[in-house]
Amino acid sequence: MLYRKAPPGPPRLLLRIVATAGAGALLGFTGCSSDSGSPVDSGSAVGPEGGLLPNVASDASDDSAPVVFSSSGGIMIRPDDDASPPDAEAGLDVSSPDAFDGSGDATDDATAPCHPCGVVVRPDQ
Amino acid sequence: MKVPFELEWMGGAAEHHFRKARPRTEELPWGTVDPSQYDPAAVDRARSSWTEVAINEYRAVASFSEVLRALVDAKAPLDLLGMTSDFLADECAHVELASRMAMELGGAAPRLVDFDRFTGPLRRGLTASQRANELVLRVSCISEAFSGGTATVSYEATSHPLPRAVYGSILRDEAHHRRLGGLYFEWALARIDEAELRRLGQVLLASLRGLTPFWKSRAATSPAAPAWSEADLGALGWLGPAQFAPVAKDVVVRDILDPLATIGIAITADERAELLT
Repeated sequence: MLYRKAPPGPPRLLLRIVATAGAGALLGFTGCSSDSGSPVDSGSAVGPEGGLLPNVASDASDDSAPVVFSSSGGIMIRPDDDASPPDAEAGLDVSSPDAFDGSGDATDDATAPCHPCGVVVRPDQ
Repeated sequence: MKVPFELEWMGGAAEHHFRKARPRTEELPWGTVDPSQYDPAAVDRARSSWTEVAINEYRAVASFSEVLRALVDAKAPLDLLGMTSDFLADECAHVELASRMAMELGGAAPRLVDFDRFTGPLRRGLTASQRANELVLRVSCISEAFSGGTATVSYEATSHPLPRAVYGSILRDEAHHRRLGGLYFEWALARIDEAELRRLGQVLLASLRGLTPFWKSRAATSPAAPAWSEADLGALGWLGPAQFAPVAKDVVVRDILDPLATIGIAITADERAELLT
């Protein structure tokens, strides 16, 4: 077996983030940061345990939102009786980095959550 | 810690071996999507969605890894283990397909993933059999059934040849992934008592409640028109919210609740009504 200290060619990025200022990206997801150009953290997102489906951001005020924790995949051991309440973090966010005034959060009524297809519905439109 | 979701590709021997295992990826019509031909807002939404599919398929690699380990611990039949092992390469291939779709549309949308919390909870103290029951139920019978069932409808509405080919490739594999649940419970059901069936019913309910934002959230129920061309978004692989919500509920009933009820994994009528209304 031949061991090298580095690969003969550098790995390339199969999936590379490109933050655009396109019209779609400018639509505010809930809880986006004003820090344009970098991914930001807020809100909760529901995705399948795995599979051919994008996520939907759950409504923070929606009764169904807490179970977001149960929809993520795999194993995470938790104690029987002192399980932490479902967290707002579902492991990934559906937030856009662009053009948000920084005032929103997951309960912000100004922007409704995105749909599985990535749609963000703005009630004022 | 949350990190931006990007993926590396090593090339060389690793790529060669992977291509031998999954040789058809390069046969797809890559390079045929011209984003300038579509509404820019629809393109942005489509690339966001394909990015999230890449994340969720990556999550499926983790999920089936956990299923496989649980089946090993439960001493499930060896051919069932071999079948499940094969799914791991399928899911890696799906991650590649979705990633390349996002790149065709201009690049990945920025998404943060906390890999320390990438996977969901499994209660401490379960036996090996209970772990296998629960994970097969959640991953194969619920998640794969939901994503596969809804994606079939999205596939039918997709007009561009590349996303259609990606859908077709993934859906062919996922039909097998869904089959795992049926095969597993054929083997395991005789070992499952009434108490475990009731517990699995509650697992089913909790998992489906986790999916209700797909048809109950404000986005899914809002009558507001989206700010982009739904036709263009559909061409690139995605349904609008008004179209998706009823599809999601139909799939839950037809592909998840009703089939599982036939083997005794069920929720009550009241729970079903609360879930679906």
